[in-house]
Amino acid sequence: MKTKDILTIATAALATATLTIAFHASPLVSGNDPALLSPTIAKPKLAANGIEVTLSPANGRVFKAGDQPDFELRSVNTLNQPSAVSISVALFALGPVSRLSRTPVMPSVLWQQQLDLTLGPNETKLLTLATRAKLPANSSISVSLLQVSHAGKATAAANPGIVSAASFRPDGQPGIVALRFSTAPPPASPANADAPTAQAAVIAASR
Amino acid sequence: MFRWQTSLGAVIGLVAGFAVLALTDHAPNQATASGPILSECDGRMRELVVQYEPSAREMVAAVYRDFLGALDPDVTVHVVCPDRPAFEDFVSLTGRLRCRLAPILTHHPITAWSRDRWVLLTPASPAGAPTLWSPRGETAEEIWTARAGDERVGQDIAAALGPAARAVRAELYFDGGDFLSDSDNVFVAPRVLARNVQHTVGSRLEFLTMLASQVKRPVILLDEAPDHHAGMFMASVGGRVMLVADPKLGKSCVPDQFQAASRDAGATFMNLPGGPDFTAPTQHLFDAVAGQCAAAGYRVVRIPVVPARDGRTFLTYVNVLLDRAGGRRIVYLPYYRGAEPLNAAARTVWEKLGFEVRRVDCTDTYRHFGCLHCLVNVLKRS
Repeated sequence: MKTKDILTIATAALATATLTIAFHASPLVSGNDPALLSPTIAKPKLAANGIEVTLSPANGRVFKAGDQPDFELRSVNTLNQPSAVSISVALFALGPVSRLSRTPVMPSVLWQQQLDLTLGPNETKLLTLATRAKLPANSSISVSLLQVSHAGKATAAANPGIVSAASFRPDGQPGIVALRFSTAPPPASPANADAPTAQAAVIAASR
Repeated sequence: MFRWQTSLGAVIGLVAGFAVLALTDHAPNQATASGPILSECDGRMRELVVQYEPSAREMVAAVYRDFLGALDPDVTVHVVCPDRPAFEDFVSLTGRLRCRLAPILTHHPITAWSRDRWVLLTPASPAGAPTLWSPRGETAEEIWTARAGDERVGQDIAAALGPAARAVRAELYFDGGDFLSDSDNVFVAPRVLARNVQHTVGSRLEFLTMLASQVKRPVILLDEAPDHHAGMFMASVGGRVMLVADPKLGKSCVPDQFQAASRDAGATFMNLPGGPDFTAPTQHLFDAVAGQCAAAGYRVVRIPVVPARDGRTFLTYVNVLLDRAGGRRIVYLPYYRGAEPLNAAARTVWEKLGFEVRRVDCTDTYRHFGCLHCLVNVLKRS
């Protein structure tokens, strides 16, 4: 075997090995890129009694602090027969959080309304909900949809959480967070986007 | 022209490439492989992770002096800090320790709460690395700069530790503290479902399927529970025994004049916001957890708790860290200065279960909605 043959074999081997390692090692980090995660559900849907209910800002508005938001509630009866459902729509605000806190405080209820929806077979209804509640600044805002019982009592617990645990009981009624948005001004740049990668200490820190 | 030399080289290269991947535990089938979620009540703690930033000094100082001061020299504590001065501040507050401290510098803001940032998935094989499974996003990160930084901590740790750990971002939203795992099951707080259904998953069934495939243990989703992290109201001690907090037991340790609601935080028992919450709906939520554990085949033991009316502040005795030393079982148990009868009652419960109690002063911590277990995450148990 000539030197030229050995050189060719070595070059091909080196290139193949490099490509093999690079190709197979890359998934280790790809899972950390949020952009590569599956997309979230764009329009959360509350389904009950064959009726699907969605919520969106009226006229596609983008809300900011001080606004009194209006929402468009769309209900679609997917059945070939009449159906009805009672729901509660609630607007919550989560204000600025103490920097020492482990978890945010309970969100406060800004507005709440109960609706009785009755739809004919395959009918679609649109309702505009005017909240008359001012959105506080620097807050995380959420709007929940909960089915309420025939007795008129919300299946949510008294706890003013975003959507209460009780609404997810397997024998109970469904509930969803239909909308989430923030009244905080967008950050100028991602937090420390240019910061160097985390590093272990060069100097041993054991004592 | 493709010659035999090139073909032979390619074959040799493939063999060499896969050999390197296998030796470094990066084989394709290992790349995303992980074992079950780490049990919180088995084995001896070997490597821990805490987060520290200097504004939290007063909140955590007593906790870390007590807890870290009780650890043995063969325990490593990784201290995640924004920068070197923060780590030096941490060293100054803990005083002389026997355990080994190792800094991990993030160069971005963080909070002091390590538990919620990631869940530890054990290695799929004995030679493998553990996986830090981080949530898809953090609650309220858009209004909370440090919490946005917290989102990156799992990756920071994996980057700093090299092949000794890897980080994977979950498709689901959660806080690490929403899970409570032992060697049999993973209990999940109901709020996790609320954060994900119709956002990352279409239904409850889809949620349970996705979660079980990741944690590789049976998932018990609590249908009713206090709206808080699981570790605030329950602790599995192994052997299918579950400690569940009980406000009724807490009430018996609170003087009568402090049992009513109050708007004056300074006049309430232990400055609990709004006063203690011994109402029937709250008691029902704790009892519901006990009932669900019993239904899952656990022997339930109740232990005092005093929840506040803000729904967030708890004087709790299940927010613990469990350890072993030989045949001894050890609990690092929070206590609160000014609540001595309550502390004593809780201690008795742990001692009756056969635990050696090591007390940790959490007086300056509970007002921030968390406690010892919330501050410390476990990277490795023997």
